[in-house]
Amino acid sequence: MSTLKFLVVDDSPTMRRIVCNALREIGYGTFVEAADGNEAVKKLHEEAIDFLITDWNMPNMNGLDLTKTIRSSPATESLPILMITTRGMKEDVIDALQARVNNYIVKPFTPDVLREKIDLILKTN
Amino acid sequence: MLPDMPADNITNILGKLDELRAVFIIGQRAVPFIEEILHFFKEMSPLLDEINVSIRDSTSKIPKATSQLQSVSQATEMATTEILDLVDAVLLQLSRMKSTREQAAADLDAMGQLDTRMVRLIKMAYKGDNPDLITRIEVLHEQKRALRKSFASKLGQEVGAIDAMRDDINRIMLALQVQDITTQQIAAVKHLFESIRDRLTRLIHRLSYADFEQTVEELLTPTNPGTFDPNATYDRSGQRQVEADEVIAGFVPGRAKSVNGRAKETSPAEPPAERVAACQNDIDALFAAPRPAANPASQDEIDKLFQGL
Repeated sequence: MSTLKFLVVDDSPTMRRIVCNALREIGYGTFVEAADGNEAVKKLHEEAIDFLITDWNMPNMNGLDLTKTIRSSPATESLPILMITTRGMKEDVIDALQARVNNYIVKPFTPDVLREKIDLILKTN
Repeated sequence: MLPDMPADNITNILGKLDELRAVFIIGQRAVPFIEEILHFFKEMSPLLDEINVSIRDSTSKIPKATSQLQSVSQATEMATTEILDLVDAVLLQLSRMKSTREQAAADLDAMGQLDTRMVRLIKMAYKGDNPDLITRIEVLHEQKRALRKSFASKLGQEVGAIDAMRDDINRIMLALQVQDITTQQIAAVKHLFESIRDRLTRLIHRLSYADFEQTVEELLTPTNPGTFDPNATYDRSGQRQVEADEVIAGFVPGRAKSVNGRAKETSPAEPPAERVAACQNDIDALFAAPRPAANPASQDEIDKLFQGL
């Protein structure tokens, strides 16, 4: 089991559980959760996070703005960010890329895809 | 001709009279039409009243409809949570069962090694003294080994069955992503209802139902449109991805292939006019190449990323 600490950000408690279960299934057992971008920023200030997984559509601060916020801070600018969202339009992917997410998964996802993306991000980082 | 009146004036008066007669003729022709219009408005009046009542009635029902949609989302959230609780409990139980069987298999293996050592000691102790006993012990040892092998095989089958059950349970869990997707779809419909409500309210306001408008405003809280994806779909067929792959392959200037291996040479193309769905392979392609370390990527930079594949 890897010791990497994940921050899973999604306004849906169901999705947070599903992502956390999938992470556990593929060998990552340490994670904290946040319900929106604001809460995620707060968590990032409070504890050391190795990897962030975020939804896009969320109240208060969405995943795209969260990514921009993280990238604009020297303390977190290199944090690996994986976006998992229902938004599958090409323009959406480009927007996410411009915001500098490290990779992108369209829901519904499988643990295999999740593992593949995490491995890729860790490898390139 | 009247005395003291110039001939020009008379001509003017006659001209005016002709114009007046023309006006009367037009008026005479227009009167039936105007009467029809008046009749139409008389008939329309109760109908408009009915429409007003209908709009007011429909608008007053929208809060209930949106509330019901909200209830559907909450109910599915609760049901999904319950299912996830059960899924977690079953996964934990399966994990324990697997662990127990793996431990049993290890114990069985250790038991076999102990048996072998014991037989070896007996053979050393009774070396040449009692060959029948040694033979009988060897036969028993062999029978026990066969039983252990059979038992180990059954344990292995059970572990395999447990793994299969875990896979199935995980698939159930992943299928529950549909809850998040349908919640976003419901939120989109709710937002649409509220937009209609807003327009109806404005219409009612124009029809001087100001008090009613205020009541509706008080009843409803607008949904934040940024919290859902109106295009959310639960698509596991992969068809959406294939279509998107084709669109993106056409969009990328000079790109040799997509990640799924389908080659398609293209000339520089304009971005597609309509919003198109991207597939996971296209998304992979976007992220496969190294990205600039700072500043948002421009379209040129994104194009370069595609070319780098």
